[in-house]
Formats: sequence, structure tokens, C-alpha cells
Amino acid sequence: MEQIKKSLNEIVKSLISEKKVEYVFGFEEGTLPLKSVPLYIEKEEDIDRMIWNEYCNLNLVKFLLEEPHGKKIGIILKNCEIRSLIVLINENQINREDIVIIGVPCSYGIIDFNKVSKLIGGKEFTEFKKNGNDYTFKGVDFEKTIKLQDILSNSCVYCKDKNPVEYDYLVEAPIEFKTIQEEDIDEYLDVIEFEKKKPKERWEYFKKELEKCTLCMACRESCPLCYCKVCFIDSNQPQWFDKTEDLSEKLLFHMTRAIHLAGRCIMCEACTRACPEGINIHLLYKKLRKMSKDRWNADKIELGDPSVLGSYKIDDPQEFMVKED
Amino acid sequence: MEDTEKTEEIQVIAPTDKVTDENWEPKIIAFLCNWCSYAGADLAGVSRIQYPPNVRVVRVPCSGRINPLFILKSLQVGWDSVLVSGCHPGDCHYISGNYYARRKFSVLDDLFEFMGIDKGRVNFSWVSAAEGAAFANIIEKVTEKTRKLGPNRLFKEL
Amino acid sequence: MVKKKEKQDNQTFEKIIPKDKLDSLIKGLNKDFKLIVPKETEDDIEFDYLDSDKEEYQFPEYQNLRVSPKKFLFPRKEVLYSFEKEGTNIKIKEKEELIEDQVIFGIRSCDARSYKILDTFFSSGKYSDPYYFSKRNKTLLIGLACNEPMTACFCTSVGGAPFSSEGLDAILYDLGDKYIFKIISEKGSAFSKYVSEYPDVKKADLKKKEEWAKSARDKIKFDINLDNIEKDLDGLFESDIWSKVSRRCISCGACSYVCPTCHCFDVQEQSDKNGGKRVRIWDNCQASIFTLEASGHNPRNSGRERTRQRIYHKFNYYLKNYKILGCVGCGRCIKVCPTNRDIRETLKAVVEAAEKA
Repeated sequence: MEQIKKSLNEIVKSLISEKKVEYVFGFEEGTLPLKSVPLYIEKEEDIDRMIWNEYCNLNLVKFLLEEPHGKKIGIILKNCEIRSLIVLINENQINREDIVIIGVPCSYGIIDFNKVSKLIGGKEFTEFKKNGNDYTFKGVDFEKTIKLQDILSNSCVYCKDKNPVEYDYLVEAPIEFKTIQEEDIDEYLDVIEFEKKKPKERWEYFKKELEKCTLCMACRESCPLCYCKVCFIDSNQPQWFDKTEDLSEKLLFHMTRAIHLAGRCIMCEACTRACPEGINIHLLYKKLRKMSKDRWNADKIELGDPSVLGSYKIDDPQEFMVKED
Repeated sequence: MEDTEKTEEIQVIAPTDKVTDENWEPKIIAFLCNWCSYAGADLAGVSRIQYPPNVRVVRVPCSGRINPLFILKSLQVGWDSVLVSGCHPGDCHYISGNYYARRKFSVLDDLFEFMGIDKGRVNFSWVSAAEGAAFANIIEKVTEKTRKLGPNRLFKEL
Repeated sequence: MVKKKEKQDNQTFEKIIPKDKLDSLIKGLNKDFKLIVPKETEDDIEFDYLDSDKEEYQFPEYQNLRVSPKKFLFPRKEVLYSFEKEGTNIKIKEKEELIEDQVIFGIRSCDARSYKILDTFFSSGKYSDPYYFSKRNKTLLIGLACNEPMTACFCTSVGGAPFSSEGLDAILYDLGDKYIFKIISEKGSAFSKYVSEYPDVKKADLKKKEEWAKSARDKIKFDINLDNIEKDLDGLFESDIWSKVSRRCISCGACSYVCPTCHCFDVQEQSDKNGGKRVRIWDNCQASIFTLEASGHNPRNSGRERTRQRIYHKFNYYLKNYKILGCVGCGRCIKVCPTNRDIRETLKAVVEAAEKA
């Protein structure tokens, strides 16, 4: 960790002092424990506030969409976030030349605050201590030690793709563990496990989970790949939704969003971490990514690749078609 | 053009306002591409091939025009089944629209499967302008399937 | 005896309730009232209706709940009326009103004060809101003074206090080994019969209570003087602090959905050929469609205007319109924010900027 921080500091310092970029995007410590805030590093003295750790939970690529073309910006990213940037570059939303990517090998994964809250029964912790892979959370009337893999984001638990694939500067860092699981497991294990359940159970699960949704749009707003000027749920002409917040609307919203992200979602899971209700909405997106792998062998997106739904092969599988007798 | 009038006629004699389980008849919305499937449906009519009157046709320029949201929304507002049909692969009037459509349909198909929603309510098929009989056959099949599934309560009564 | 009666008339009805008797008090209340209590769920504690005949209930330990009890009086989704076609006629069904008296038990001081703010808003102007007040008039609040404020709490800065009894009908003070039950309002005297069997409060207990109140107050680390906030904000409408603050905002509405005092709503309709309904749903000012006009013009087009609006509404417009602050300092918005945008930091920045100007 120290090594990453030192190396980051040097890179950011040189970028700022040599005026290669207008600012560098990073994180600073939040006002509550285990929370971080995006930081715009414009001056050298801002560098001291910069942090890099397992609770930098946002995908900063989202903020790049706000910036005008032609503005040089540096940004510190992990590999999943770099892949989301690649999708945006492929879709002509961001110019590669505008962005200076500082790639950091992801050694920890990201902690899902919602998971922590759930494991400590919705109580509040005032401090936490780290001891290897054990995290001890202390509150007013409790103290609980939790293993890192129980509070990591789902996609981080199974992630095997931790080294930056595209960068201008690479931070040298030892990867402390390849995957958090002890044995080598399938990247899509949680999806596979879920598929084993009965259809009725799956439907009931999604109904129960999405009932909690308040349509606050934190998932959409934290997702770098959601950049439509007018989202279909906000559209008035045509008005797709009655906006009465029926469960059917929530289901339809999340299903359609999943379809829009099919083959594009790069599993940074910023959406699930941003959800104030802790809904595991990411499961849907992960499933569709697994599908693009199974059907079209297109789950790893590289620079210049066509989008999955914007391309085709003549012999794509079509076993679901109704055939005449 | 004759067909457009026909659809309107069917709408007028649509089932009574209050649908009970006794008088329920499957209602199927069909999105047909202009160049193949719609013409196929036309041919079925011109050739006087009988098929169940449960289908209501929406003509779209190409199967690639069909947004998966059309299908979801149809199910939400209470259609019992959705049928989507386009040109056979390789025959698209716009060269590749149906290939893109096929990818979108497979996403929807897998999503339904994953969420545990009965896939029988969403049907995709390829019907060419020459396949009037095949169109009638598919409508028969889909209607039978829907009849077995019963009224669509997927998004109702939630 | 005479003296004691006088005491009761002066509304200083205070009783000592042993800790182990609290659950039986709740059970007693549940016989006559519909009760809303904090309930332990699988991984959280939430306010929910209690039916003590059907379920075992134990009052949980909590600081404050993740979600405020706002939704019981101002539901997330409320059907105002529905209509149905019957032959050629249309039948309109009015909303069925709540008849039962209900009690929200264990509500913290900040959330109780939030109802005061909602009362002011829903009764402002010429008409008061019948949907809100049909429930509000039937609702009594029994508070639980806050011994352990949370890290994001700042009620003392916005005119509240952990031991405040403002807006409550009765309050419980937790003294560690026992509770003091105090009746605050006239409506709250309805509770006297449920606690009359318990001993009266002693002077030593009251002293102890003051100690707890002081320690609770001391636990709130954040302190800011907001006496001039209305004037401060008047001069800062075009200030560049708003661009700085909004830079980190992703414009989701999580903060306003957890806020106990946010009350903006939208009225929507749903109908098909057989009938339909008109519903009132929560809306949030952080969404860009909140102010989108039919012409396509949006007066609050960017995050800058929307973040500013949220602060101005609570700390300026409220003071101008109703002479109260629109924030109770519960800190929920700070905790829920995906980017940890801290309203306390914003207020600090506002006060500092006003000093400079």
C-alpha cells in the first residue's frame, strides 16, 4: 500500500508541476469512517490529501463525461474502471488523447459499505481496524471482526483481471493476492449458483429485492456507462412509464437498464455500492456479461472492439426462435 | 393496405371490457417487419389460410427497430404474449437489421430465463414474405402456448 | 395527595419504568393503539407496525434508524383516488381514511422535530393537506431521548438537542438501568393510565437525567453557528462555492429520499380503458427532470443549481416562509451519499464565504 501511495505521489506530482494536465482525479478521505470523496488535484499541496485504498468506491470515469472535449485530465484508475473508460472511448464519448490514465494494479478490491452495514445489523461503527484480511469494526455497543471477503464487492471477490490493460503511467505494486478466494474459482460463480435455483425462487428474489428500490437513480448516476441525455425512464415523449412507482415499473426499469448495459457493463459494481438500499442489482448485469461470453465470446472489451449489441456474426446462436412444424 | 383496415376491425370487436377467467381469450401483440413477416401475414390473408384471431399486428420497418422495451412494456400493460417476427437471416431488406435484432432478442431471452419469468410469453420467429402458411402455423402455435399459460399476471397484481 | 394532583395538572407527569417492564408497557399500549416500533429485521432495524398478539417483540438497542419514520404519515406512494368504468358510468373511489389511533414509539428527537416541519409545510397557505393530516391528527409520538448520537449527527447546530422533547407527546429518558417516562403534551396525557402503577420520579433521577443529557450533547462533535444563515445565504446565490460543492455530486436523489423533512412530491396518473388511479409519490429536487418545463427549458439544468436549491430550501426559503429551519440534523443524507457529500461541510463553507464577503 505504501509503495503504491509513494509511486502515485510521484506520478501525480510530475503531472501537476509540469502542467501536463489541468487536474488529476483521485480520492480523499471522507468525513465518515470507510468513506471516500472524489478529489480534484489541481495544485501540488492537494496531493497530501490524496488517498488510495480499498474504500475508494466510486468509478471516477463518470465524472469525465461532464468535462468538455480537449481538456487534458489525469485520472487514477483500477483495471475495471479502465475498462469502462475503454467502452466510453469505443463509443466515442471520450477522446483517448484527452485522458492521462494512471493505472493501479488492484490488490485489494473494493469494500461494499452496504455489506458491512448488513453484517453489523444496521448499526453504526465509529472506527475500524485492519489486521491482514480481518477488519474489526467498533461501535458504541459492539465490536465485530469480519473477513475481507465477506465485505468485498461481489465482483471483486471473483475478479481475476486486476492488472491495468491500458495506461499512460503504471504504478508498480506487488499484487498481494490474485483472487481473495483460496482456490481457483469461476469468475461467474455467483451467477452460476443463482441459476441453479428454481425459476419461481429467482422471480421471488428479484421481486423482493426490487420492492426496496426507491427509484432514486443512484445506480444510474454512479454508472459511467449511463450517459444518455434523457434516460428512458425520464422520457416524456414517449412516456414509457406512468411513474407511479409500482413494482412493475421498478422491475421494468432495472430490466431495461440491464439490457442497455448488456455486454457493456465491465463489473466495477459502483452501482451496487451506491445503492442506498443495498440491492444487489449488479447480479443482472453480471449475468448478461456471462451471456455475452457464452453466446458471442465477448466479455473482455479491448480498445477498438465494436460494442456487443452494435455488431453481429452471421452464425450467432438462435436456438430460442420459434419454428414452424 | 387491406390489412390495416382488418386490424382496426379486430380492435372494435375486441373482448369485452371486463375480462374474467371464463371469457378470457389470449391476446397477442405481434411486431412484424414490413418487408417479410408483414407481407407473410398478408399472404396468409390473401391465400385465405385460417389462423386464430387472437393476434394484433404492429408493423415496424425492420425487426432491428424493435426495442426490447416494446416487448417488456407490452407485457406490463397486459398483453398475454408477444410475437416478434422478421426476415430470415440473410434476407434483411436493410442487409443486417435482423442480425442486430437477433442479438437483442437473445439478451431478452436470457434475462427472462435468469429472472425466472416464463419465456413462453415472448416469441421470436423468422417469417418470409412467401411463407403465408408458416405465419399461420406460428400464430396457431403461439396462441396455443399462450392459452396453456393462462392470462398474463406477470406484472399485474404486484 | 393534593400536591401530587397539582403536579399532574402542571403536566409534569414523570414516572420511573424499570428496563424489564418496557416490553409490557408496549404490549399494554398495543391493546388500544396501532403501534409503530423499531423492529429488528434480518440485517437492519426498521420502523414497522407491531401486532403484539401475534408476534414476540423485544425493544431493540439502537442509536437511530437508517430510515426515518416519515413514510408512515407521508407515504412514498399514496393513492389519492381511483376510478373504474362500470358500463357507461365511471365510479370514483375516494381514499379510505385511517380511523385507528396510532403511536410511533421510540422515535428520536430529531425525527420528532421533523414532523413539526412537515406539519408547518402541509398546513401552510390557504388549505391544509387532508391526506397528511388525516394520519397526523391520529398519531401520537412517544420519543426516546438520544444517549448516543451518531457520528454524522448535528442536531445541536440546527436548534435541536439529543434530549429535546419538542414535538413529542411523551418521552422516555434512558438512565442506563431504568427509564423516566414523561408526558409532554396534552394529547400525551392519554398515556398516563398505562404508567400510573409505576413509582414517581425522584430528584436524584432528574439529576442523573441532566448528566445524561449533557454527556449526549458533548458527544456531538460538530458545532456551527447558524443564527445568520438566512442572511448569509441571501448574499451567496451567485457565489462560486456552489460549483465547488456540486462538483462531487452525482445528482442522484438518495439524500432527499432518506431526509425526514424533504416533502416534495409529484402527482401522477395511471389509467387504462377500464379505470385508473391518481397517486402521489415522492419527488426529489436533485433530479434534472424535477424542474424540466414543457418547452424543454430547464431552470435548474446543472448540478450547481440543484445542490444550491437543496441548501437554500432548507436554510433560507424555510426561514423566510415559515420562520423555522428545514433541517433537523439527523445526518442521514451524509451517510447515504454515494460520494460522501457532507452537508456539514457545505454549511461550513457557506458560513466562511459569508464572513469573507
